[in-house]
Amino acid sequence: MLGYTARRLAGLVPVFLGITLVSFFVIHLAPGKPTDIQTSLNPKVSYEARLRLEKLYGLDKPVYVQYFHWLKTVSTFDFGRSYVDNRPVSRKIAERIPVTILINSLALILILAIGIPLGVLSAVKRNSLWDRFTTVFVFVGFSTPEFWLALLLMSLFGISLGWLPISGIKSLDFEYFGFFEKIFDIAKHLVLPVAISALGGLAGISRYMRSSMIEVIQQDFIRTARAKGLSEPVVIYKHALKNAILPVITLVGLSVPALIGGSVIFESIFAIPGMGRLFYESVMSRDYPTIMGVLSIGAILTLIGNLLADIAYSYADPRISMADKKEV
Amino acid sequence: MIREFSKNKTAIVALAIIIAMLAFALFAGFIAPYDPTHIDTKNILTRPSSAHIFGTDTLGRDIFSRIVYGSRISLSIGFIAVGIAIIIGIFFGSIAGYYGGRVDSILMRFVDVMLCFPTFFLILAVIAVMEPSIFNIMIVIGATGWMSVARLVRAEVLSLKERDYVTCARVMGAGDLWIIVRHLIPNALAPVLVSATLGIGGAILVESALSFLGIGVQPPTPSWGNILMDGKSTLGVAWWLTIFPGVFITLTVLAYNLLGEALRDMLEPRLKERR
Repeated sequence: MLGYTARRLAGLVPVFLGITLVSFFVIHLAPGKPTDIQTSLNPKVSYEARLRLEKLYGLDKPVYVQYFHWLKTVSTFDFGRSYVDNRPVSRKIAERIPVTILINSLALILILAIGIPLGVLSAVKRNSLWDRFTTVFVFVGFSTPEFWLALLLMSLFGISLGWLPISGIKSLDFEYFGFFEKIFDIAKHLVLPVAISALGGLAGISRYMRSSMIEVIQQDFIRTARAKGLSEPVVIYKHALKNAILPVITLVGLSVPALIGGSVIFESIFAIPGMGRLFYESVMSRDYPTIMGVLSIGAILTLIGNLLADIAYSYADPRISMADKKEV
Repeated sequence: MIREFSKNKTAIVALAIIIAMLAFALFAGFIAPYDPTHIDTKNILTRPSSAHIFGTDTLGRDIFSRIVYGSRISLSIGFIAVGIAIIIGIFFGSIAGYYGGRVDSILMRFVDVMLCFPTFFLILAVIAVMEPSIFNIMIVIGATGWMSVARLVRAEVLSLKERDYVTCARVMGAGDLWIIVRHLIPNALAPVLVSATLGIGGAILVESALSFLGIGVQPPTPSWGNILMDGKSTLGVAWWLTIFPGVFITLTVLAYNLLGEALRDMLEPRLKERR
């Protein structure tokens, strides 16, 4: 198991390099330079000053040289300094990332805790009223724009009913609260963002769980289990679920990028100071070091998600790591 | 297949919605009662009424007309972005599947890399850096959405290229290009069709999210996303600005998703569920 994990971990390095390479070139080869906003659009800045600024940021060198330079500094966990406020990018990200990770992991837990039972139930009671109802729910959930739903829920629960706060992650008088009040306050602020970021993934997972379960239930070993007199819950939850959950694990790993990408949207709607908003701000001000920093961290989070999914998969299905070993 | 399709009620409804939306887009000039960019300061934020069935926005523009014209933009972004994704996906997928070996492993590694991207971040970065235009949005959504098509085509080509008819074609002197284009790709299209149908819904959602963040389709050109964005600030006083475009997006995306699912049931018998 340990060897398997190590091999997977080593396999992630080229993928990470690939991701940074693609992002770096795409961003740097786009027309225009980040210094344009400060220089050529400002008539007071002389041509020489503009060149000096470009030189300072290293933008006068060829892109591949810039990339290797960037890679060299990143290997020491230094993402450079922001063009906007000259603060270290790593510190900017470190300030913003906990909220994003908190919301996304809560959303992921919610997705699994609701999506899997929902899918299993629909598969077991196929074509029942319940199944039809969840199918409709799943498809509508999958097709609704997250930000639209966010707006509607915000105006319903936040404004009309006044039950939940609609922006930020804590109240203004947060500092004066006791410990439990503080936790309750944050929880209250997180309800809507977490619920909304979970919805899309929830629909996908439960749908996938359903079809995977239906396929497994039709197989011979389930008939055998039933034939030898096992009770229905044991057949479903012990024999069938274990096999049906395998493809779903992979899907969970693959849904991490969508969750992280979605954080841009709900963080800007709910005014949450997380990584998504940092990314949006840095993109708007063409802050290359911060853009690259967030993209790399996002890629690392995604890769970790995939890795965890792979490890979980090999736990659930020992054939995977064994087959891998034989190959090597 | 057509008979099977006509039995599937959900698919029929989905197709009807899709055709209705296409008609909206094609005949926008006849359907829309007003000019979508016409500013009417005397009728700001009027409630839905017989004159303006979906009401008007902060500049007095007719919401229904804006949605009808917006369907042109939103749907064409959906179609063309998916078209681009399919072309790239078929290109890489068929080459990887046909040639195998090192070419295959390099291309599939690249697909892995692209799949690990928080795609929306990349789209956002590229659009903001390249400046938002409808053209750029189509290209970027297409260029970040081809991976699943490539995988599907590769898998199909891998099994198809071993068939006798391909060997036969080769014996008769057909070149690689001819075999790929004439014999392999046409037979690998079924799963691509499903993925494309689902992809159109996805692309419409991405466009609306981009426009909502203000870096999608730029005003005054209406798209479903930026009509919604206009409504964001007045949600408390004018619900119609937010509700209607959202309903249109949801209905359209839902229709493509349902149609895609119905096509999958028909084309992939293994997954077919008896209804």
